[in-house]
Amino acid sequence: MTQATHQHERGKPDQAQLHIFVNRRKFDNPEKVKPVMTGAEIADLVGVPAANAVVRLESGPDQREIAADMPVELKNGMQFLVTRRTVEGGYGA
Amino acid sequence: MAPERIARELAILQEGGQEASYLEGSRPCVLYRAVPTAGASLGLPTTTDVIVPVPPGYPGPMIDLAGLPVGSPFLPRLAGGTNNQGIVELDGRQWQLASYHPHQNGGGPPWNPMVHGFHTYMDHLIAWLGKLN
Repeated sequence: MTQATHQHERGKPDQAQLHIFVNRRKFDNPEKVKPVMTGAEIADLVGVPAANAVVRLESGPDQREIAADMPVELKNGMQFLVTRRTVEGGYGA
Repeated sequence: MAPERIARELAILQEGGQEASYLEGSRPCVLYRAVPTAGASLGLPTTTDVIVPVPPGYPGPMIDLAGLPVGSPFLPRLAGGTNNQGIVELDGRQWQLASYHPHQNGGGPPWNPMVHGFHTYMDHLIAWLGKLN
């Protein structure tokens, strides 16, 4: 097996090593984690449908909600929280 | 109970900065520290500690329930939070288990021990605490 070499462009992350955290879990599969992702794609990493997902960038100086169709340029180590608009599974007394 | 598996799952969360540990107490549980909440807009804390019982025979049986410290201001505002499922003594505190069942027709997928664990249950805790009444 040959070892892949990665050409680094100035200022751009090596795509094979790009990783983010969603709900505290690390995602670094280069087939799923891309340099630019939308809120819907980030929510999909943790299996939450876009229609029910609330995605929030939790790290860095520009913490904000990310709309489903909003593209975000990813940087290594970014932390996202994905919650749901509708939460089921709780049963009252 | 698969302690090695639980340790692996918690290590996944720890890599992301989430402090989580397995503790015995009056009932074996995973204690998640400082889980984010939607409390800021309500004048409530932005994080809370949460316990989740480890079911006997894990990972065969599904992970179920979630507990907050007795008297937590979040309990009346959470889905199932007022339906007391029992008190647990753990980490020197008392915890009230809420009726929260994400893997039992509760918004989450059916329990699959090949995919789910205490690391994925974090998604449900974050969603639960992110929706306050």
